[in-house]
Amino acid sequence: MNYSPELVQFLGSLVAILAVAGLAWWMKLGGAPELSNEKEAQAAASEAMDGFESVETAVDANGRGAILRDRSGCLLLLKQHGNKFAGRLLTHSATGRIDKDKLVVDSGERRFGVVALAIDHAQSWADRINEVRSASDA
Amino acid sequence: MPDFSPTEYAVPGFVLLVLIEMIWAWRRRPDAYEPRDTLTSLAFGLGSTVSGLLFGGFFFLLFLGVWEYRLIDFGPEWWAVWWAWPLCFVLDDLKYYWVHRAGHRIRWMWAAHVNHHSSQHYNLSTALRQTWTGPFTFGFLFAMPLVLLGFHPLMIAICGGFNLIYQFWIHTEAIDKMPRWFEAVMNTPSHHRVHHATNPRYLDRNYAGVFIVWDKMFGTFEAESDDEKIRYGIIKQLGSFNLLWAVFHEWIGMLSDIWRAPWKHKLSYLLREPGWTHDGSRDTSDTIRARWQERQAAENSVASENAIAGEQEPA
Repeated sequence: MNYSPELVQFLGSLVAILAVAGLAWWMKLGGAPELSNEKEAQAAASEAMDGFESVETAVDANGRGAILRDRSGCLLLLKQHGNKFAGRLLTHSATGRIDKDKLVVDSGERRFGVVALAIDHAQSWADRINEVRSASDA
Repeated sequence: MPDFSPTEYAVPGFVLLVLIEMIWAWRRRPDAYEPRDTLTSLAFGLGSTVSGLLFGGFFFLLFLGVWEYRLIDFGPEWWAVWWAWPLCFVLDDLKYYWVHRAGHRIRWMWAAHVNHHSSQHYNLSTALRQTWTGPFTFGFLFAMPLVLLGFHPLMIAICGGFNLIYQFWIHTEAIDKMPRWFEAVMNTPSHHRVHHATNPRYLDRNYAGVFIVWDKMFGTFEAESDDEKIRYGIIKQLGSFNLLWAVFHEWIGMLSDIWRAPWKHKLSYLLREPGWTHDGSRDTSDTIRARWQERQAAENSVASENAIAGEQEPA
C-alpha cells in the first residue's frame, strides 16, 4: 500500500509531538501550584484581572482555587489551570451551589468549566453568586 | 527557479532546541513547561502546517498572477540578483511588522493571531503555536506591495520562512539579555517577552519580527523592565487545554458579537480593536493601559506626598 509523503510526514510529526509532550510529563515539568493563603490568592487575582483589589477572599482548602470579592461587589473566581491560575469575573450566567460542603461554581462558560472550592461560609458565597444572577434577571 | 522551503529544513533544529530547553527547565525552571500546554502548542504547529498545505497554494497562485503586473523586472533569473535577497528580507520584515500590528489591533486579524498568544507559558514550544486560520483573514494583502514592486512570490516566501525561523529562538526565558548592540537592532528574547506579556505597560508593544528598529521607528517599542514580573497569555486566559477551543474561540466570540450587535455596529466588531464593544462594556488594551497609568499616577502622587511629609517632620 502506498501512502502519500504528506500523510507519512503528518503521522511522523504526530508521533514526535506526542513523544515530546510525554517527555515533558516524564521529566515532571510543570507541577501543580497551590494557593496557600489569602495573600497568594490576591496576587493571583490581580494577575488574572489587573487592578482587582480584594476585600474578601476565600481560598480552597487544597489551594486549587479561590473566590474573591472587591469593594464594588464584583466576584472573581480563580482555578488551577495546568501550573498556572486562570480567573473569571462572575457574571449573571454564573451559578453557585453547595455539594458535600463544597462551593460548586459554574462560571457559565462551558470551557472554563465548573470549579469546586472547599471554603468556609460556602453558602454565603453561593448566595452572592446567585444574587448577581437575580440582579440581572430583575 | 529554486524550489526551497527553509522551514522544512529547520524543523529538526526546532525539536532539538525544544529538547535542550526542556533540559534547562528540568534543571532550573520546571514551571517553564507544562506537558498539556506543550502538547497543545505542538498540535497547533502541526495543524498550521496542514493549513499551509491546504491554502498556501491558492495564495501563491494569486501572488503569481499579481506579479505579472510588477513595476520592476528583475529578469528571468531573478533569483541570481544577489542584492534583491537582502532587500526583500528587510522589506518583508517591515511587512511583517505591519501585518503583525494589524493582527493585534483589528479583531478579524486577532481572531487568527490570538492562537499564538493563548499559552500562559513562554517557551520554545510556544513559538510553534501558530495559527490555523490565517488564510481566512486579509493578511495576504500586506504582501501585495512587495509583489507589485517586482519581488517574486517565491523569493518573498523564502524570506518569510527565514523570518519565521529567526523568530523561533526568541521565544524563551532561558536567555536574559543579548549584547547591547544586538538588543538595539534585533528582536530578542527580552523584547519578545514584552510582546507576549499581559501586563498593562506591555500590551500591544514590540510587534517586530527580526528587526526591533521598526517598533522604535513607529512608536511601539517598550523595553523589558527588571522590576516587573511578566505574565504571559491573553487578557482573558482560556482556562482550557482544548485544542479546538483554543483554535476557534475568538472566531466564535467575534461572530456571535456580530450576530447580536445592532446593524450599525456590526462592522466595528470585525474591524475595530479586540475588546471593543458599542456599549463600552469590555476592556481594550488601551482602556486597561489607561486605568493602569491612572493607578500609577495616584500611587506616585501618594508616595511623593508622603516623602514631603516625611521631610517636614522634626528631627
